[in-house]
This record gives sequence, structure tokens and C-alpha cells, in this order.
Amino acid sequence: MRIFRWKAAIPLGLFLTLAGVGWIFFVDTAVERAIEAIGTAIVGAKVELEEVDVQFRNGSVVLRGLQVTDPDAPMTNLVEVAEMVAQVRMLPLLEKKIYIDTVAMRGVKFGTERASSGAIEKPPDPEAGAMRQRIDAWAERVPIPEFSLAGLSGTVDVAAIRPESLQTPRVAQGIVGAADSARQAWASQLEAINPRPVIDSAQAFVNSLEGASLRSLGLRGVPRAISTLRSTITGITQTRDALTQLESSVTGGVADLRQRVSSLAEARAADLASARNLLKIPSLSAPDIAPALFGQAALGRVQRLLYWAKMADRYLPPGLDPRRRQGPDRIRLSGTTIEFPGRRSLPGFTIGVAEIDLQLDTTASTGGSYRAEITDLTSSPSVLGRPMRISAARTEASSGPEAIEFAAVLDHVTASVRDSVGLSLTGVALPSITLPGLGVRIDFGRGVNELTFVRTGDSVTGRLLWSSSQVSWDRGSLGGGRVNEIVWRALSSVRSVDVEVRISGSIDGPSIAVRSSVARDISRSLQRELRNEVAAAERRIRAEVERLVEQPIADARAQVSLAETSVQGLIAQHRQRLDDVRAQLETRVGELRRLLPFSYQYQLSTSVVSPSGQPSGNR
Amino acid sequence: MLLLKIIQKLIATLNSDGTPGQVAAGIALGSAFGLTPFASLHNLVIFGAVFLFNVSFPAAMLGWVIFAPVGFLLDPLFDTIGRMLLVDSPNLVPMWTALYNMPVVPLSNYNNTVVLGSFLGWVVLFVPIFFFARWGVGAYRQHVLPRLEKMKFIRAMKASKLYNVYQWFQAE
Repeated sequence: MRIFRWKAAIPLGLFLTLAGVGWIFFVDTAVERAIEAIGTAIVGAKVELEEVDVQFRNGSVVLRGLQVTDPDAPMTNLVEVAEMVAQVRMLPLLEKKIYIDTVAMRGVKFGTERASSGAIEKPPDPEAGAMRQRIDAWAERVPIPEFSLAGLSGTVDVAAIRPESLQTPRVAQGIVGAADSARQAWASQLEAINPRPVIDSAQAFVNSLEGASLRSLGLRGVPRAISTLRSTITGITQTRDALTQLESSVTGGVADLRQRVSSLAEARAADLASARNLLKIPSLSAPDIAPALFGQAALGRVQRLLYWAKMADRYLPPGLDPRRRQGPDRIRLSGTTIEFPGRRSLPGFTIGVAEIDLQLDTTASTGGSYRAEITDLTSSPSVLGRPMRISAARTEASSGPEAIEFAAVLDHVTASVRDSVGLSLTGVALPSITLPGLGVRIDFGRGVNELTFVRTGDSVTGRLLWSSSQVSWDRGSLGGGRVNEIVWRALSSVRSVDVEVRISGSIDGPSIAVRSSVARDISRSLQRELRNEVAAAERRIRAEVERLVEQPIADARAQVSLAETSVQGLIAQHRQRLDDVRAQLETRVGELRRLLPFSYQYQLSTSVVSPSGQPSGNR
Repeated sequence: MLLLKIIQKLIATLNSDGTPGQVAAGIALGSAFGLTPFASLHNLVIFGAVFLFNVSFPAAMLGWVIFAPVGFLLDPLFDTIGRMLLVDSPNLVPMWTALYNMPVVPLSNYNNTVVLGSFLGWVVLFVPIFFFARWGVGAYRQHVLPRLEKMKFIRAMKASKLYNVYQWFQAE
């Protein structure tokens, strides 16, 4: 029987040839479907293409009519590209890798309307969801002071400050409890050591040897007595060591308690601030006013910035560790697909240089021609070994800003990620913001919008700036009354405003500082005209808070002192008595040794004496 | 008509065409189409093998049909095996990395847990499937087929017009 069925080779060859020819005929459609499917999965909304033309001879791929739906607005395109020409290397395709040397795009438009909705049923993205949750949780922890002038308009009702709403009494009560527990624990330990019987027994023994002689003790009795004295001294030393250890523990514990007592000052300051907020007494200091007015607006932008910084990590992961993603959609189980980037190979996806010519809507404020360049965009920066660079600038303005510049370097080559982003927009329309607590709306008009953001490893620094000299004000929901009128006068005369937000710290929880010229103007006006009212209200609040926290603080201090003095005093007494009796024991040892003949003294100094009084061996 | 032809050929294969070894080899090779995700590079190679080696082609189709539901049922197991090898075996990472960066190999999707697990599952099951199928075909031809032919129902069938339909499935 033959193993091979040679006559089947021709049909098989024909079949494979037909399959190959079919693939060439349908490759355009296959690539189109693949780009649409992958793009849709990445964006989370429909990505559509009108036409794809793959030319194997020169390795070019032409995409026409690309529409990427805005996932947050399914009837709008995030971006629409009339034509995109990519020069693709053919050999890496055999490794299932896409290496695009150059990409040129023309007819790029943003925010165009769609004929049909581009929404899709999105499968939940647990990683992005968790990332957003972490950033939201951080944002909730960022303290943004409240700014309200309501308290200055009426009488300050200090009765509204309830003792249970203050944290100082709670903290003080905690200290009292801790001090009491510690005192009891130390007393128990002292009782366990119990030095009194040791002292009394040693004292009795010393007294019994008062006036002892060789005759009264005998030649064997003297070494025995010396041995007993030495054992007693050892016992005394051990008891003293235990006391020293306890004393050290007491000293440490008392230091902790005193530290907690010191923290009461912070709690008291927080209570004072909280009481001021409760009674709507604003701080008149500019550093407090700026975060109150612009903190929320700044926080929203910083949240987005952090989200994208984290997303950059996700899509441009540093290092060469295997990466997992869900397997392809199919009737069978998808499984997990793992990528294994290798140092001496090509990344899974790379664009060498992408040159983009944008022509934005001429009626919009950002209308004009732009030129952008992206180099070394890759899915594995560590494999490529070069950071990704993006730059964009306006080449011709039809309206709106005078200058737009953007540059970014995302260096994810090593584990210590280094990202830097710089954006400068001059003459751009800035946002309108309603100032919290006042209800006044500020329209920045056109001005300068700058952003710098640097990430090195896990630490970030950044600066956001809005600056305008064409500010207009809308009274909004600002009420009447003297105080509000002062504020309105202060604000409505201001034409030039800058708001600066500084970010620094860990990427997981940076701190934010907000400064603004508006805050300085408001602060100056309010201090000029309302200083006395605010000072009087503050005095009343301070007095009330002091009254409510005074006793708990005193109790806490007293309890800590009691814990310290009661135990430490006893320890000192016991130690003094132990030292005294030990000195007496050592004196007795000396006296008894002198009673013995020289040969016995020598043996005693080099041997351990058995209870029978005979030297029993070398030490 | 093509389907009827295949079924006809299949029954003929079981009844008389080819040795039990050829039929069993066809079933064992065809089981790869059912046990592993069909649209994979290795299945193209196995398809070529079914063509080129002197094994029963209809039996390979039968193997596919029989093992397709088994593949669905065993997918979670295959996924676990693949995960164990691709994710939980750091010692194998250099080998997977080398394969991932070779030409053609990544096109096989070996780096998918289900593909790798099911392929290895098929490799392990290949020999048992072959021997079991060979024994099964022999037993069918020796014991089941003569009894079937003696059954009144079958004889009645043979006598009826329906037998004409059955005859479509006879070997040529």
C-alpha cells in the first residue's frame, strides 16, 4: 500500500493556488474589515472605511474615507480622514507584525457629523474602569475649600457649632483611653516583675550576715554564704534589667502619647476651619480663595491628564514582559493571546514617521492649516529602543488663535517612564467658568492656554495656565447685599485674569496648587472693606471652639501625665532600692572573702562554688 | 448533492472502502479540525496531509463532525493547558519569545491559550483516537454490518423503494 496519494497533489496545488488568488482578490476587503474591527475595539465606537487599496508591489496601503466615531458622541466623528497612504514593510507581515515606514494623511477633519450613529455595545473594560475609579477616588480626596460669603451677611450663630461635629474632643477622648490602657498595662507588667519580695529577701539575707565571722559560719559555711550572696546579686540584676526594659517601654509609650497630644493642635485648627465653613466665614487670604474658586475646574482637567498618562502606560507599556489580551472573537472560546516581545526583533506594531496635514474648519476659532508629525509610534517601545515624539504646529491661520504649538515625548523605552508634554495656544477661546460659592460667571474670552506635564517614573509635575486680558463677567446668581456688592465691584472691574494650576507628586495622588490673580483681587477688596467684620466673626468662632475643646484637651494631657508619673515613679523607687541592696550584698561578699585563707580566696575567684561549699570546677 | 456524495462515500468507507487503518488515520487527522479552532494555520497543514497521505478523506470529515462538539466541551480545559504553558511557565518564555519572533510561526496563533492547549490536546489524543477508531471500524465491519444486513427492517428496507435511496450511499 502506498503511503502518499500523489494524484491528490495536483488538486491540492490547485486548491492552494485558488485560495491564494482568492486571498489576493479579497485582501482589500480583509484588511478593511481587520482595520474596522481593531479600530472599533480600541476606540470603543465604530471605525469605518470606505475603501482600502493594498498594493503588494510597492508595499503601499491606501485607506480612503476613514471615519472614527467619537465614543462620547456617537453622531459625531472624532476624526475623519479623506486619504491615508502608508508604506508598509512586507517581510515583517510574515511575523504577524506591522511595520509602517511612513504614513501621510490628507483631508483630516475633526468633529464632523455622522450620517448614522457610531455607537456599539461596549463590553466592559475592567482595566480602564478601575483606572478611572482610582483617579475619581483620588479627586474626591483632594481638599477643595468652600468659598461662601453668606456668613458675613448676617449674624454669626455660634450655637450651630456642635461639640459632636468637632474632631478635637474625639481625638482627645482617644488619647485619654489610650493613656489609661497603657497605664494599666504598665502597672500589670510592674506587678509581674514584682521586685519587692526580691528586695526584702536580699535585705534579710544581708542583715543575717551582719557581724558574721569564720567561727560563726565555719570554713565551709563562708564559701556557701558567698555563693548565695552571688546568686542573690544575679537575681537583683535580672530584676533591675526587667525594670529597665519596662521603663524603656514606658518612655516610648509616653512619647507616642505626647505626640498624639501635640496633634491636638492640628485637630483644633481643623475644627476652627470647619467651624468657619459651617458658619460661612470665608478666608480672606488669596491662597485659600483661589482653590475655592478654580479648584473644581482645575481638578477636572488634571483628572483627564492623569487618565491619559495612565492610558499611555497601557498602550505603550515599557519593558519586555509578555503581554496578555483577549483572544479573537469566535464561536469557540476566545482564550487569551499572549505577546512575547523580543529584544532583537520588531515590535508588533510600528509607525516610523507619520506626517499629517490638517485643514481645520475655517469658521472655527482653531481654523487653519496644521502640520503634525509623529515618529516612532509603537506598541513595544522597549523593543524599538526609541521614544515616541509628537509635534504639531499651525502653518496657516484662517481665524482664531495666533499660534498653536504642541510637542510631546513619550519615553517608555525603560521601566522608568519619562513623558513630557507641552502645549501652547495663543489667542484661543478659553472656557467660561461659574465661580463656586459666588455664582458669578467668568468668560475668559481669548487668551493663552498653556500646559506642561512631565512624568518621571511615578512622579509628575505639571502646570496649567489660562491667561486672558479680555475677561468679561456675568453676575449670574450672585445675590444682593453689601458683601456681595463689594465682591461684584471687585470682580467686574477686573479685565486681566490668570489662573495657574500646579501639579506635583506621585502619579497616583499628586497634590494640586491653584493660584489666580482674581483671588488676589477679591482678597484685597474683601480685606480692605470687610476685615473688621471677618475678624470679629472669627474671634467669636475661635472662642466657641476653644470653649468646646478646652476640657477634652486638658483631660488628655492630665491622663498622659498620670500614666507617665505613676508608673515611672514606682519604677524609680524600686530601682533605687535594688541598687542599695545590691551594694550591700557586694560589700558582704567582700567582707566574707577576707575571712577566708588566701588559698580559698584564690579558688573562689577562679571556681564555681557548689552549694556544699566545695570548689566544683573551672569557670 | 456534494453533501450526499460525502455521506455516501462515508458509509461506503465504513462498510468496505479502505483498510481500517486508513479510515482510523483519517478520523484521527480530521479530529484536529474539530478539537482545535478551525481557522488556524496548523489545520491547513493537516488538511494538506489528509490530501497527500493515503488516508480516508471522508473519514477525516467524519472525525471533524464527531470531534467538533468535543472541542467545544473541552475548550475550558484547553484554555487551562494553554495558560499553564504560556503564562504560568516562566522557563518556557524564552522559547515562546523565539517562536513569536520567527517568520510564519506567529501566524499559527500558537500564542493563544485555546489554540495551543487544543493543539497539544489533539497531539496527545491522536494515537488513542487512531487505535480506538481502527478497532471500532474493524468491529463494525465484523459484527455490526452483517447483523444490520440480516435485520428484517433492513431487508424490508432493501425491498422497499427506500433502499434505492440507501443505494446512493453505496461505494461506487
